[in-house]
Amino acid sequence: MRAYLVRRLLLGVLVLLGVSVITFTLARIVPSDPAALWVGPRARPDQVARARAELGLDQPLHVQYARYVGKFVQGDWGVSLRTRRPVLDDVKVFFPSSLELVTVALGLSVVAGIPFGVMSATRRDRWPDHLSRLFAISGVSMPLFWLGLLLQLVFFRTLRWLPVGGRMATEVRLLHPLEPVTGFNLLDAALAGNWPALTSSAVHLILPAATLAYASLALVTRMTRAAVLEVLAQDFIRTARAMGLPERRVLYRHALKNAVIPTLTVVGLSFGYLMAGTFLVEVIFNWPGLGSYMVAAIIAVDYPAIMGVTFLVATAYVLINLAVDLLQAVIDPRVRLG
Amino acid sequence: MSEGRGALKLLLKNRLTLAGAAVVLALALVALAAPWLAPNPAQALGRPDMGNQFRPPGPGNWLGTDDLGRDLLSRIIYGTRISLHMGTLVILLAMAIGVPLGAIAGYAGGVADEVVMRLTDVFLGFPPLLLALAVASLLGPGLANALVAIAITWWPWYTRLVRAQVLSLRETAFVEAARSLGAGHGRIVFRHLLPNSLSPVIVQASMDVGYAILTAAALSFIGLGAQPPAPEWGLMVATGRKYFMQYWWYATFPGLAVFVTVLAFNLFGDGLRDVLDPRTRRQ
Repeated sequence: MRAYLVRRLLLGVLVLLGVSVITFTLARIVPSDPAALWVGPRARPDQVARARAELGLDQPLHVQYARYVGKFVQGDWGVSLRTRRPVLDDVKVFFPSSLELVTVALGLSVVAGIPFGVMSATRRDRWPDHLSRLFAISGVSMPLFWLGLLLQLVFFRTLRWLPVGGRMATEVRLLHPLEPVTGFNLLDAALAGNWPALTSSAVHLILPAATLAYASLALVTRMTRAAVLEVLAQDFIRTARAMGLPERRVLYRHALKNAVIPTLTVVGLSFGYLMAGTFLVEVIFNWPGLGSYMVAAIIAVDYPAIMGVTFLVATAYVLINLAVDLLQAVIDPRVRLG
Repeated sequence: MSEGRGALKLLLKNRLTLAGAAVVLALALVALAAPWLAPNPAQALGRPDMGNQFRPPGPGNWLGTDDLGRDLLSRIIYGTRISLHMGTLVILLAMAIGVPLGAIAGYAGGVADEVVMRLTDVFLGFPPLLLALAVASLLGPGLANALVAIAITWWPWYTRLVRAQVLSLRETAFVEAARSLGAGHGRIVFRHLLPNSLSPVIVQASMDVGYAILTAAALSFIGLGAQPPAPEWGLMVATGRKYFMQYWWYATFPGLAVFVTVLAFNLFGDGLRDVLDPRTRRQ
């Protein structure tokens, strides 16, 4: 177990180092000159030269890289060229907002995906199963930005049930301001007992979270189906049935418990999909998160912000996958041997 | 009873696969025949028709017109060319990087294998789309840059696939025979190992085209891929979004085109995998 843990951790560190090398290299092959971007379009050549020295761009690449990593781990992620604020400060504001959206979406896809998957497995090759397959393939084929627009058209414009975007209604934000504690609006509002903020936040979450959940819902459904089918074919299930246990008990107490592990993997994987998916969904729903920040940074060629967000999201992805792997090793002794 | 149901299942499953294949074929034909099929090729390529803006779908403009009065149907038909082009080129480029690396890793083993595999770990350590987004944003907007950006994120899958194939073939009798006849490493890899590992790679590639099209459309939607006046679907959704609440058709139809195309490739690929790979065939 310890050898496995060490190997997995080392690999995680290696991946993060690789991620930093890639983002660094990318930022250095930007066609435009970072120093020129920093001083602005009307700067004189000597000002550009000074900026280049200040930013350390006149040093050899490996020195620049070492400096970049050194500063990075100390929390100096550079200053955004667009907002002129430290990237880390910007990210601290926007990350919890994206994380809230992703968490709710992931929760939705697990809560709906596991029963769908079980239903699909127990009614294998009948119409619920076919429907679930078509639904799953549609999920991975769906352009999320388009699905978001369609939902806005139906639920905002036609039915007028839900808001078109944003994180909270403006009047609620002004009349019932929320003190950020966790950065999750739902939690903060619940903790403060701020009822109007809680309902407004919840209502604003529905469409973006549903859009985002669709792709991962498909993954969770298919994975649960496959896992349940595999477990149902095994001897201990036959034994349980032969002992006369009710089918419901066999399914939920014996089969599902053993189908949890592959499903767990897919939840970990889904996190990555959702994290990248938020970039598109946040733009559509005007959600003030990391995705909106990233897209604004992309348009402004704000490379410190692009690097910071890329590194942060990749780190979160690596850590989640690591956590999932370790959790698997804890739950299932067979994993450790592999 | 159960046999009949099994046959029905197979038919139904094949029907979805067939439908996917038919749509893919139709799309290829549409792309080829775009100049003859499109009611208005000049508008498809960008010529505005002021005074004809935001026509709802109806006779003359079956899918309506856009903010510059251009016929949406014509533009979507021409967009097929861009999307299929991007989809295939991305996959070809990813294969061009990934396949040789996989062959080297599998054949040479040792340090080379370790280095290549850890490299794929690093690239797969990024969430999908994120790396493409970062690369494309730093390379600058444009279809060619988007193509490179997506291929950079996709090659490791081919490396892993080919490596596994080569590993399993390396010690087989026919490779042993070639070696004993004095064939060099290059000859063994390129004449014997690679041709025999290619069929799963091709299956994988045919499934990945849909993904590549979807990602290219997403990059264009953000403004990193195709630039106006190109009739690219993702870009059309992005522009149409500004007018969406009044003129629903503008963003709806190009988005539908993306969805149908990717769905067709995925249905086709899913069926193809089931047929060609008995291990994933449903019990």
